[in-house]
Amino acid sequence: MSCKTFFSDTGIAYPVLAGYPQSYDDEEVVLVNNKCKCVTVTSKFVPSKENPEEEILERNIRIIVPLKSRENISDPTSPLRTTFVYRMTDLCKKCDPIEIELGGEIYNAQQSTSCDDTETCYTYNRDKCYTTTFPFLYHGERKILQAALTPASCYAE
Amino acid sequence: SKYFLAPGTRSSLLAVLNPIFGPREVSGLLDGSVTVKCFYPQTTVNKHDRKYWCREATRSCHTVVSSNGYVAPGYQGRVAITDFPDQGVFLVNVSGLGLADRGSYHCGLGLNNRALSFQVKLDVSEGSGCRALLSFAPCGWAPREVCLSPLCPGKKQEWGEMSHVEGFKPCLETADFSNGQGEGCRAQGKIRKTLRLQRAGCSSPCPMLLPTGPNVPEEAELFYVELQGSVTITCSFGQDYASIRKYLCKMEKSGCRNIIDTYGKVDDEYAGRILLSNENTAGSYSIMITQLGWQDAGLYLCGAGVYGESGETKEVDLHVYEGTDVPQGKHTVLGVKGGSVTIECRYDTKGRSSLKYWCKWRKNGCSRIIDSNGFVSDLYEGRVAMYDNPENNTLTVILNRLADSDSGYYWCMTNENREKKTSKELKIVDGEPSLTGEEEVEASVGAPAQLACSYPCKYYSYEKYWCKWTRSGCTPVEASDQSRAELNVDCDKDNKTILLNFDDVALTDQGWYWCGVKHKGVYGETKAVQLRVSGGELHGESGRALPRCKPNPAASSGGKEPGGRSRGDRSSPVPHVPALRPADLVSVGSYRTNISMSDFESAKEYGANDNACMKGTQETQIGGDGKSRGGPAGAEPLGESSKEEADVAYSAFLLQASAVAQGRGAGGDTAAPPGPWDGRM
Repeated sequence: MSCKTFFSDTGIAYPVLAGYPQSYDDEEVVLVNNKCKCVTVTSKFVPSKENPEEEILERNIRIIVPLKSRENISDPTSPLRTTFVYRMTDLCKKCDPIEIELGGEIYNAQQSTSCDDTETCYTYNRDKCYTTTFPFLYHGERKILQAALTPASCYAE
Repeated sequence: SKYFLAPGTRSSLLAVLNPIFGPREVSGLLDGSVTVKCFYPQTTVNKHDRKYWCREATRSCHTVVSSNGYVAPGYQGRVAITDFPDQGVFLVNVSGLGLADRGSYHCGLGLNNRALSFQVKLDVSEGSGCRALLSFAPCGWAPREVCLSPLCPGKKQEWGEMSHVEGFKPCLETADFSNGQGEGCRAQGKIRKTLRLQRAGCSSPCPMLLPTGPNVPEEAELFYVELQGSVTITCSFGQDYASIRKYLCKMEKSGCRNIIDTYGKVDDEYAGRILLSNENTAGSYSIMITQLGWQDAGLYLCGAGVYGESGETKEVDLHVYEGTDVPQGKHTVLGVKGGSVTIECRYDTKGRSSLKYWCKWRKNGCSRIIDSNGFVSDLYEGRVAMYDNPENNTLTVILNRLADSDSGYYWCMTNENREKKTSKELKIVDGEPSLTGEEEVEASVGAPAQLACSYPCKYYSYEKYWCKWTRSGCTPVEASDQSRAELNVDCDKDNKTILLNFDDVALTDQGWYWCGVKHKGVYGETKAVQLRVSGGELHGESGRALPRCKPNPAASSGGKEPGGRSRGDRSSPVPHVPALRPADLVSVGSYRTNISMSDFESAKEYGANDNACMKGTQETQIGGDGKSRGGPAGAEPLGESSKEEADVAYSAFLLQASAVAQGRGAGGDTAAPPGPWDGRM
């Protein structure tokens, strides 16, 4: 799976773990922590079942499927979502810009190509405010008002 | 952001995905009360979200109390929850404890079962009844012999440190470590409290061990720190431990790994980012750690003595969370040999007015380089400057003329204890600095001089400047950019020079000058150039304006160029004037006060003349025989710079005069103090 090759290509975990002589036995590396789709992928070294002397890399994938969410999470009137698709390639993509230094200057660079900004979210990201509009009938007058779907996240300060 | 954590970070999964932090265990007395402190990152959503305290059941967690106002039946009037959003903590208070309250609870944010919580084990112990030892020695220790005795039933007592109990002396008697509560040794290897043991005789009656009260800091001290932030841990063990080894160690499966101690040992993983300093009260010390990463989270012990053998310890539970503040910037700064680096540190608004300083980390402390009061360490003269920008709370330090020995860790410190301390690692790499030019320029008084600094095309659009280095900063000087703004867009590789012109060099112009670039208000690269001025009259002003003709053997024995000359260090008043090197002349020059140099100028027979470097000038020995003075050139008492000799002599006079005035003997190698100054030598 491409998530695995990506992992060993950049070689993040290996030198990092090797450089710490006093590392804990159960050190896990976080590969994916996607709040939009609610997927967490971590990996750690565990003794192999066939040969307990050997250590193999075990990957833990945790997916929480929000069964009661709508197809469009910003629109409560849309139908319930029944299809959930999780692609490791998409999840493992590092689309956040990181800072790298070239010749003394700091630049923001994106590590993956084909980063799609608009990702369909299956559940709410706690740090974002989601609102919707709805028609409100008051004294015979129809107004369109905005309401917060996630009140706790929608405070100004 | 989509990713809460940058993928690829090493961490314990639990620490990463669970930003809520609280005490792992709390214990209270029957009918007593207990307060649980829960920390959370101060994001907007966390501050406004629901806070709850729930009791773990088989499949879910049942709310006991929540910040929305709910109180579970059966808990009315005995449970309360208070939120402090501006501190990122909320408190849960449970009173009227009964044995049925024992169990696992969660303090958390949001909805109950969504994993944004921390598990707290609540223990209720009987205050009355005969109990033996309440604290346990950790697993792995050799059984210790302590003195125990049952408590007086029905009495509630507060625990006091053993050292504060009057007349208390621990005694040695075999004891049973299992107590009425259950296991005698907690399985995780966690230390509840260590008992201080001393070899003392046991006197009867055996003193009592008091019970632990609910408000007593028997549990670990909790520290909730931002990722890449810093923490200050203070521990105090009383006067008795003033001269005993102090340490900080981290609990691991195999014991407690020593991190830092007062003997100067520092664990490699923490090198450069940890400092141990003694506090003013005897037996107290504080430990500062910066650049906290996920792997720094965990249980620590700060102690006095040796772990597992003697002394006392205090538990510290450190938790790291993903922060919300503006990032501190890169922690490793690369500098080119011979070039310069600009290091920025951010500080809290609180630290605006306090003293700020920059120091280099060493195993036994942090040696100060520069501070906001105008102090500059002599080793860094002419090559370091500090700028404070209170508007965006940033401290900028520029260090140039980099050498390999500059590699290491540097700390930005303020005097405020609660201030965030930041440390940066400086690495020196091979390469060429971008600003080039002559590093030393010699000029004569009265003549014009020019300092040139060439810059590459990448600085074409930057603001360029020249400034004169002083201890309190580098003051800008008017300069001209030789490459005038041309209409063409390309960068012409030639003519990229900034010039600093002196029409008429004066002795006061001697010193260090920096040419530098600035971009959008941020300081960039700099280059230091030293201007040396020869000839002309001496000034008492900065003491630096001394003529130097040829490299003087004594001068070079000073070890450094004038720029690196130590200032004032050796200026402690000496009753006699032994072999004065030019270095000493610098400081002695400052003794000149009210007598103007015009007395010397016109008097050619004193050896003062304008052309200081001419040999064979007639010179009279001043104040004593040349032998004892041991002039710079050794064999020939006159030396090469007769001006310096005149200087020496004058200074010698002054010192002796002051010594005489104070009633002290002139001492040393000069003859009897000269008589009244009537122009005779």
